[in-house]
Amino acid sequence: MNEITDEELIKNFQNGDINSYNQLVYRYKDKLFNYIIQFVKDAAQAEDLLQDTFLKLYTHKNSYKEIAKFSTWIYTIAGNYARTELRKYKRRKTFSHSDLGFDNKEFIIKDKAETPSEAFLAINLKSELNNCLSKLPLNFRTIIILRDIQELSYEEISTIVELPLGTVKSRINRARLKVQECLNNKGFK
Amino acid sequence: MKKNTKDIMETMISDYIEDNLSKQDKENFEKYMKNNIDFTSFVYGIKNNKSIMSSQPYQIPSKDFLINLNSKIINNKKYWFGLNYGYSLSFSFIIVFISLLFINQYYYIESDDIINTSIGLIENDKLSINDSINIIEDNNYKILQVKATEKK
Repeated sequence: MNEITDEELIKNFQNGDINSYNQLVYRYKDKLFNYIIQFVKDAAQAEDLLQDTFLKLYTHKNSYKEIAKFSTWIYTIAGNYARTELRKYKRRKTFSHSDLGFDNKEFIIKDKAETPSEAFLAINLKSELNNCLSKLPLNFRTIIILRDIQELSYEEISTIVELPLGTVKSRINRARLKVQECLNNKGFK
Repeated sequence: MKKNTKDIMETMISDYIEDNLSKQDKENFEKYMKNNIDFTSFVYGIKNNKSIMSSQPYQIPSKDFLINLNSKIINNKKYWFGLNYGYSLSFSFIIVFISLLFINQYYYIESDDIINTSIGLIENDKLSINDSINIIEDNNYKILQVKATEKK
């Protein structure tokens, strides 16, 4: 049996079906949480912004028009909240780069790391990779997160960030180069 | 400014690791990699980063997330017409202000005339005294001359 699409769910919700809203929340809460937390790095804050995102879906359901995919619409809302919060955070200047790292988060050590030193290197690389990501300018960071972590298509990213496809592709490429250069500078080659 | 080969190759890295290059471009790219070990390790570094990022441990919201979301939605409904807290507050003030103006217009007749009144009217809150002019009293009466606003 074919699963009901997001677009059908939002349409049902626009017609007053609250169960469709609940289904959309279930479908997107984990994905969006992982997206938002890439910007704010604090789980409680990310949760708060995620709630704001779903609240906006609830109160502004009719703002969605079927010309775009539902996923791009909801990612745009979440991204706007996350980036606005990040800018406020930066203005307050209360964080350091180390706060942006994933040092305090659990990482799954891949089984293929055969020795403790390999495992240590793998964790270190992940940690530094996230540090390098967090140092990217926001416009580069957003699209590399959408592409390499959220694994959205170039077309979806282009809609979300409102940039031409070619610009998105070249920015992703440049973002990847910058991250790798940053890692090289830290001794990961 | 004319791009050198390295710059051109760098613009092709993403397409290479995502396998979007044409056959000819791919061959040229791999040929360039073969002759540039540093560039090769750079490309493989990017490829590795991509796989690390896509396999990052998935984090999920806390178990209270849905309960909290529900509370937020219920609280939001308490605000008027779906307006947020700030707008609701401003809107409330405007409504109260307009109401006060209306009440003032409806219940009071402004007057600069001097009114002869008795204590009783004032005590019964029928007049709002602006200025007391004179008090006339004898054994039986006490009459006040006041500038007052008379309530309807």
